[in-house]
This record gives sequence, structure tokens and C-alpha cells, in this order.
Amino acid sequence: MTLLNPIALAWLAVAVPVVALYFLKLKRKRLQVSSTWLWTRSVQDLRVNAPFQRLRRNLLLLLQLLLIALAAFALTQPAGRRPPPDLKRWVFLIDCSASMQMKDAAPTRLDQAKTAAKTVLTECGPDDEIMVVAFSNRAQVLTPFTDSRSAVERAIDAVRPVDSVTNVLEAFRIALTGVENAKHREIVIFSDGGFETLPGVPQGLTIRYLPFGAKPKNAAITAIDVRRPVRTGDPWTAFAQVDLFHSGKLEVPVELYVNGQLKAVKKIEMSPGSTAAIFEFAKPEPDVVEAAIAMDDDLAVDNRAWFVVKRDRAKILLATTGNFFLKNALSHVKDADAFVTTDLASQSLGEFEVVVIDELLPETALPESRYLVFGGVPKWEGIEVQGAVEQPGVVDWNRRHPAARGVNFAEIAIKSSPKLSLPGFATPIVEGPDGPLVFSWEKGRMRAIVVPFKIGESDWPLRLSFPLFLLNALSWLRDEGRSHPRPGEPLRLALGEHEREIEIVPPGGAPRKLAGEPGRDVVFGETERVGLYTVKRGEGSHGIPLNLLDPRESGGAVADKLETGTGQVGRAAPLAPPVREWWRWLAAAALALLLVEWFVYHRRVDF
Amino acid sequence: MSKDSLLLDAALIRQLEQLELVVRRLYVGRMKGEKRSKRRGQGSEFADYRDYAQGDDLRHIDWNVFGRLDRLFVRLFHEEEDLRLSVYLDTSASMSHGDPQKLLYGKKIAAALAYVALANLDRVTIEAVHADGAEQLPATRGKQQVWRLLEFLDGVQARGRTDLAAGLKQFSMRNRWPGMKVVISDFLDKRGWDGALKWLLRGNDQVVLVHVLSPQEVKPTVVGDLALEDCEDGTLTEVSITGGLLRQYEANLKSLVGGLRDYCRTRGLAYYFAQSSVPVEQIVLTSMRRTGVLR
Repeated sequence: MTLLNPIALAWLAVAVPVVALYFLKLKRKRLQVSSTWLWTRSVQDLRVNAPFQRLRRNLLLLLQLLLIALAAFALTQPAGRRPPPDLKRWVFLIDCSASMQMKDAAPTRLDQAKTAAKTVLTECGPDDEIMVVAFSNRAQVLTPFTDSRSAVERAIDAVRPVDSVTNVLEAFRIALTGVENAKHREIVIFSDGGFETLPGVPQGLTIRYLPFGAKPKNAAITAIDVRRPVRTGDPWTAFAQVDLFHSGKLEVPVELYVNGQLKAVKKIEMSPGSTAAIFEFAKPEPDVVEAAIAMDDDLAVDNRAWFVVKRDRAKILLATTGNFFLKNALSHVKDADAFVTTDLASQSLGEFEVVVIDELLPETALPESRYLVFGGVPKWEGIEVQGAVEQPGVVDWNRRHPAARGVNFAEIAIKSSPKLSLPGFATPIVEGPDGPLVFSWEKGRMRAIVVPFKIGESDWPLRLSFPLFLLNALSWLRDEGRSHPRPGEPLRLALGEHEREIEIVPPGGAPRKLAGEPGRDVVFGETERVGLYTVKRGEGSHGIPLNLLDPRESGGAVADKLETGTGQVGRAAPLAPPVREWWRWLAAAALALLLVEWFVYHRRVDF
Repeated sequence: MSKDSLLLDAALIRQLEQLELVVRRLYVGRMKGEKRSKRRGQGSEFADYRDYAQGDDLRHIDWNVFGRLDRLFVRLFHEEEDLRLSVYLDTSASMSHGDPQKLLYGKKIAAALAYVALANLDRVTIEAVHADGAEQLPATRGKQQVWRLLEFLDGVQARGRTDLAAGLKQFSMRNRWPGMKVVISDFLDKRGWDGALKWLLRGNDQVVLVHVLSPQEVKPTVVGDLALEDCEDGTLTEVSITGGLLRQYEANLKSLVGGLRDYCRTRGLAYYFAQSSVPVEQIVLTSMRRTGVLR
């Protein structure tokens, strides 16, 4: 048995004044009479005639207390499990993603959805069971199947907006599983419909779609980037992509904050669509750059975006016997210091951000780190070397890969390259006639780009593509430009080698400490809000920006129908206003009345 | 002084003037009065004949009988003497309770009876008694003494505890001369009343008990949980007033009244139950006349 409203146990406190009155009762009022003779005789006679007189008085108190206990217990709404009768199972899927915070449906789409959910609740039969699931980028079951209306109402009230994208599939699967064995079943989706196609709907399952929202007026930042100066003396460049979701033209003011200080404001005359706002600034050296739309529109969470600039100089280790080209190229990498070694085993690899290995691959397994390997194939899971290919030509390359961005691999002459077979999680970057010539590898915290052939036995170092590839590869390996987690996704943070605890400060929230084993990851899950999350490690700290940056959420388009694997679900008819339940107040009044009754009884003349 | 607090008012006095105390037995009086005496003497009412003896007053010889029977008979007459009325007025503290006050009510009854006695040349003694002592109005006679009587009753205050046994014992010892004895009390004595009333049976008196209780005692209106304090000895009795308790109280009160009434009936005493809210006239002029104490 569970108590659906355990807080109602607080009503047991009513027993305190009742018992107090009982004891107060013992303080008797003095009254002078002519003689107590007859009274004393009467009391004695009564005691003789009714030996349980006192017990009768206590019995009344016991009955009062029992009544209070029963009433309070009833208010807790105890519920037990029972075999399912011919009831209906309902699942309320309530969208709480960023787009549901749109104010085009007053006060917000989510508030309207919650009201509508309570209205639909009144349609449910007394024995029907209802489950409430809120979904944004993940699903959250707020109450399992229950026939308690108050539990469902509390679950509906508990739905909070999340500044994240929409992913209905997980919630929908939970709903399907929940109603799987029910004879009568219905899934009600309270959303704006801004999500992917739903899976197929089984026979006999009713899907009701209640959309919320109209045509929003919204401007959003959908991308942000900050570029370093290319040459000394050049300015920093901040780039913000602004999208307007509105039927007419609008002037959108965009502000740029550098390290929290307002640096520039640009007013952009916009038509529906995308425009880039580009700002240049020389000083100060930026740590955090924020772009903000200074306009009151229907959705606030997409009006600000943050970018954190990495300031530390990276340490790169080059293990080579003396490759001139590599040494030379790495020494020209800005914001990084290259260290050269001939003995990889003597180095503590954990200190370096990227390790470049040129033909010095150790026999032992490499620890988890970032590697750029030339002239060798690490013995990693799933990689098989099947001989060698002589003079392989470049057939194609993956232009979408960050390491291949702007690089022309054509016409590289290679003397010989190992013939490779790669596992699924390795991505070929450059393809030869008999397999990959360059590939990237990502597994866990390990990330690597492997060039299996010896570059000394090719003409690649002499080509422009080599330093470009090297810069791209180092940038990818160093995580530069890697997208940060989105709001709603957990933040995974690695503890240092001697670190046991870090502190994370969410935007506008209290600091939270995360503890774990040194060298392992800790996870922070409370990332529902966009903003700059500050991570404090020892003396230093750095920020992690969580931006919405999602045109679909910002667009807030309301789907008229939902696509499912087996057809379409149209917009459901509007709802009548919800009914209110009064029984709680009546029950509470009954308890209060009991208290009054006890008080009156205290001055009673008969019972 | 309001009408209610007057012991006797003019209207009552007028009616009392018409009455006299009735005793079922004949007593030997001490002075000439208006009551027929046990003694044969100079009264006007014929009593009997007896043979003439030497020395008898020749005026009492019935010459008509001598003419018929030729024998000398002397006519005997009832002597008319006074009656002794002794009133015992309980003035313990409990008598001060009630609305109307029981003591005042008792005084009114005492005054009324005493007035009737004084108006008929009877001797009246009043004793105001409580456990700690007694105040006495010495024997008075004659209507002109009524002011003295009223003055005495006015000065009587309720105080002290009730001790009926001791009080009645002293009362009966002090008033040995036979006559009518009236006891006015609430009979709320924790030691009981039956032992006390025995003292009234020793002589050959006409005894009248007037049992005075206030309406609050007859029908209590108290409610709630109370600590009742006895006004005489200060003892506390904790009670929770319930319907059951009130019913038991009424039963006990009934038993007290019924017990007294039965006691009196079986021993030839007159008993009157008087609730202090009932007009004194109803007791004196109606009840007492109906039962023959007054005529």
C-alpha cells in the first residue's frame, strides 16, 4: 500500500489540541454550594452503579482520536494494488522542451498544456489509471499508473520547463510499454509537435494530440563562434548567427559581451531567415564571449549564447627520431608548445594534450590520451593489418571530417602503406584503392588520427596539404570547436590525476560538489537551464557554455498533425474547462468540526 | 426594605389573625389562655360530671340533675390555658444559600407561626441554632410582643456548620414544657437526620417539620466539570455534570425528602416540604390549614 498524499498525515496534529483540551478539562471551575452532601452521594452512587464510568469518558476520547486518525489517514489517500478490472489506461505525454516556454500561448505553451492535461483528467473514469510522462530531450516518468486524481494533478503540476531540444521517442516508448497489455488505452500528447516521426501505433491504441501555440514572434541565436587573430595585431572575431522566426521584418538588436562587459551592440534589420552578426574587438583577451538579443520575444532562452575561449597553451609531445618536417610544422603551431623526445616510454603522457608519434610506436598498449600517429598502426581492438599496398593512390577523402577541412589530399605519392581493415567506430579520412590511408579513432576518452604510412617515404610533407592537415588534426584532437553538451544532457567531467572533487556552479544556482576517484569521470546531470556552468578545480576555474542553438526549438512551429509509422494523428478538439475537486476541503472541514465538537462536548450536559 | 424581604406583610397578618394553632393533644398550660387544657377547671366548655364531694364549689352542682336523680353531681369544665410554641430555626451557613434565600424563607415561616401563636395568647420561643451555638428569643406571649419577635428574627444571621443532632438535643432539653415544636431546616446534615429527630420524640409534643430547600437545590442548573465547595466545611467534591449524575442527584434528593416524610408519617409528625420559591402563604395558609396544624 502506498500513500499518495503522505503530507496529509500532518492532520494527525489535530489530536494534540483534542488531548490538550482533555487535560485542560481536568482544571475544574470552583463553585460554592450549600452542601456537597447530596452531590458526593450521587457521585458515589453513580460510580457504584456504573463502574465503567471513567472508562466511558476515556473511551470517548479514544473514539475521538481514532476518528482523527481515520480521517487523516483517509486524507493521505492510501492506495493498494489490485487486479486490473475493465479499466482504461491513459498516458499523458507532456512536452516540456524549450519551445514549450513560448509565450505565444498565454502564459506559456507549457502552462496551457498543464491546464489541458487536468481537463483531460476529468474525462478519465474513476478506476482508470493514468501515467504522466514529461519529455524534453529525455523522458521523465512523474507518476506511474495510478487512479488517484490528486497524484496525477500533483504530477502535472510538477512538470517544469527544460531549455532543451525535443526527443519524444523515449517517452513514447515508455508510454507504449505502459499500455501494452491494457484492453482500453489512450496516449495523450500535449505538445507543439516539434519532433520527429513517431513509431508505429499498435491496433486499439488511441493517440490524441493536443497542440499548443500559434505563430510565434521569436529571434534566436543559433550559432556562436570566436576566432583568434591570425596575425599579431589583428582583432578577435566573434560570430553570432541570428535567426528570425516571424512573418514580417524586424529590427533585432544584438549585444556582445566580452568577459561580462558590454562590448558592442548591433541593430540588424532582419527578414525571416538567418543573418550573421560579426563583431571584431582587439581587447580584452576574451575568456567568455556572450551574444545576446536585447529584444522581448516569445522565447527567452535562445536569446543568449556563450562561447568560452581556451587560453592555455597546449603541450604537444613529438616522439620522433628526427623528422624535420614534423618538428618544423609543430614549432609553428600557435598557442601550443612542442616537446620532442626519442624515448616515449620515459615520458608521462598524461601531461600532454596531444602526443604525436612518428614511427616510434611502443609495443605496449598506449594509455588513454590523444594521439597523432605517423608511420605505424597501433594494436587497437578491431584493426587488422593485412600486408601492405605498394604505391597506393588517394581515391577519395572524407571532406566532412574536421581533419580534412580545406585539405586537398589528391596527388600525394606514397611508397607503401599497410593494408587495413577497420572496426565500425574508426572513421576513414583518406581512402586508398585497398583501404584507408588515413583514419580517425574514437573510443571512450581515447581519440587518435592514424597515418599508417611513413611520411618520409612520401611527398606529402612537401605539399601544402600537410601543414593544413596537421593543424586540423591537432585542432580536432584538442577538442577545439567540438560542440559542448546541449542543455538537458549530462556534463561529463574528468577528474585530474590527484583530484578527488570538483565544484560546479550552474547559472543562477548554488554550487554543487562532485566527488569521484582521481582520473575518472564525474557526471553532473542538472543541466536543464541554458547558461554558463562554472567548473572550479583547485585554484582555477573554467566555464562550460550550454546553449540551445536549435533552430527547430526556436522556430516553435506548431504541427497540425503528428506523423506516425502507421499514419497520421490530427489535432484533437478543444477542451472544456477542468472541474475542481472540493472533497479535500470538506474532509478538512470535517476534522475541524470534530475539534469544535470536542470543545462543545467539553461543556456538555449529557452524552 | 422590599416586600420580599419583609417577614410579614399586612395582607398575611390579616389572614393570620383568623387562625390559631391546633394541637391534637391537650396539654397542661401554665397560664390562662385560649387553648382547652387537660386540666379540669374554670373554662367555659363542659367536660364531664362527677359525684359531689365535700368541699366542692356549690356553684358547680348541676341542680337539674339533682332534681331528676336526687343525687348531687358536680359539673366539670375544661380549663382553657395557653399553648407553648417552640420554633427551631436552622441558621447554619447552608441556609444562607439559594435564591430566594432559604434562611429568609425559614424566618418568614417562623414569623407567621409565631404571629398566630402570639395572637392567640400562646407562649412562643424561637431558637436560631447552628453547630457553634444558638440565639434564643425568650418565651414571649401576647400580640404586643410581635415586634420583639420580628426584631429578633431580623437579627439572625446564617453561619457555622449544621449539627442537627446536637442542636435538636439542646432544643428539646431547653423546651421540656410540652406543646408544639416546629423545626425549620434544610436537613442537609452530612451526619444524617434520623438520629437527630429522635430528640423530638421524647416528649409528648406536636412536632412540625418544615423542610426548606432552594430551587437551585431541587433542580440544579450547574453545567460542566466543577469542583463543588461545601460552604460549611469547605470540602471539595469534583463532579462532571452529566445527565446521569443529575438524575442520580434528583433520586438522592427524592430519597431525602421521601425518607423524612415517611419518618414523620409513621411517628405522627407533621412534615412540610417548602421550596423557597413557593410563597410562604401557600405553606402556612394552605398546606398547614389543610393538614390541621392551623385552623
